[in-house]
Amino acid sequence: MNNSITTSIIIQSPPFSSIAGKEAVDLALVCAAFEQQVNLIFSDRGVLHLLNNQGKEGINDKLHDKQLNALAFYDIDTIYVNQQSLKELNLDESQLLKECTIAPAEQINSLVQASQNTVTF
Amino acid sequence: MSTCFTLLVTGSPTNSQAHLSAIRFAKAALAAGQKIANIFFYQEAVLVASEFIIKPDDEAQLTEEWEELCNKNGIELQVCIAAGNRRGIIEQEEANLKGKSGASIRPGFKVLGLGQFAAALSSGENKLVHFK
Repeated sequence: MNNSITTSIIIQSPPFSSIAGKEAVDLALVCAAFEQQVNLIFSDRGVLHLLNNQGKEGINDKLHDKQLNALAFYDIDTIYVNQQSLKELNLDESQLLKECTIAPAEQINSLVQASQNTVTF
Repeated sequence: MSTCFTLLVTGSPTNSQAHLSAIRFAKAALAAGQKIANIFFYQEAVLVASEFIIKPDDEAQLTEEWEELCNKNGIELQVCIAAGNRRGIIEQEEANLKGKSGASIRPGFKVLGLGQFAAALSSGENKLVHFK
């Protein structure tokens, strides 16, 4: 893997109200396929994408949690979750998909600062 | 030494200031002797590539402004194919393939895969600026 280029993709928008999260994950997958080191970061209401008990019964559309669970296969090894955002939403690790790494805002800050590219969704 | 930029525009042409800001940024950067490698439209921003936008004459004509700016400076206007197709921005070939009545994209815009945008980032030569 070519680690010389790091791209941070930050997802702040919640699921369902727009397809921003889906389009963000699409971009993350393609960047990883082009051998970039990808930091996929969920922050603010974006962390709601990662809830492990979502059902599609009420939305008449497909969920993309399967795509999120498969990220490791596409060389995106770490999904970062903003610890403060989780706390503000009164959520904890047990409610999230199992691939997540919870990180304090300072750590996320350094990850983004060390990236060549950052895109926010 | 001049800096080379890649511009990513994701904001809607009707519901955000993204395009106005990006056009101002591009003009200022070029006037200052910097370079713009490519401009990529993703998410709602792809709607600016529509052939069928009609706006009152006294409002900003974003589609034409992009075309004029990029024609003059030899910059490619790139539209993400997946984001475009799901929003009704299609080329003739796609229209034929899917049985649609015709193309809806302006000839000045080029349809590309997300991979080509990622490849531009992978080169590490351009500075990415995102307008949303």
